[in-house]
Amino acid sequence: MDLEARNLSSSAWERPVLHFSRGLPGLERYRWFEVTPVPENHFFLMLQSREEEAVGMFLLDPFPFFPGYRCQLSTSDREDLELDDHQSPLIYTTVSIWNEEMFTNLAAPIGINVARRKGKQVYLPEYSKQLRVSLAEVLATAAGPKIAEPL
Amino acid sequence: MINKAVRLMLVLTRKNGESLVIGENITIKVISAENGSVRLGVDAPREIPVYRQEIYQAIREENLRAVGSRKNPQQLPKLPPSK
Repeated sequence: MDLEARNLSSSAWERPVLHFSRGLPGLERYRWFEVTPVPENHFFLMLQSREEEAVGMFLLDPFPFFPGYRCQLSTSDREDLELDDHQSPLIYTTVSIWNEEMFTNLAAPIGINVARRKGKQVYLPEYSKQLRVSLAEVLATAAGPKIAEPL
Repeated sequence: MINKAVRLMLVLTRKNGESLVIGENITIKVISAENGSVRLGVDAPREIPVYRQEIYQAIREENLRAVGSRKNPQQLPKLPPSK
């Protein structure tokens, strides 16, 4: 094994592989996902299925763009993520791109417990009308990100 | 002639506090039923996802769009840290 291949395999080993014990709606067959940062673009992560290469998506750190965004997880969500009493999960939102326009889903973010390697797509009823929020406005006005108000 | 595409739905009547058992380890209990709303308790193993149907469909659609529109990371916008 040459040096480069060994480095690649060791760095792959360090990438967190998360177990989504309940799967993701529409993607239930896949339970193991690898999370990798997008180089030089730290607002995004790649969520990549370990079981199927074609299954992957971008995730966004929503908080810099939607400063009013709040994630109150239910008890069962916290249990599924194996969070300790006062532990907060990482929260990322899914990203879809349509005609060059980016959208994100504030209603069903992905909660991540890195320590336990657990992931779950949770549902926030207070954001039920914000399943597909355009990022165009938020990205255009760097000075004033739009605040997501619960409806 | 029987249309094989049609699956008959099992219809059962339950009272408050009564349950249904599906398979070996899924129990659905009627907690209350009043004013046209039925409150259900679902006891299912951790690997069985449970969603309200219309919410499940909406999240499913967004997830499939996200997977379908994934691009090369280089094509993502370089985002200014907006504060």
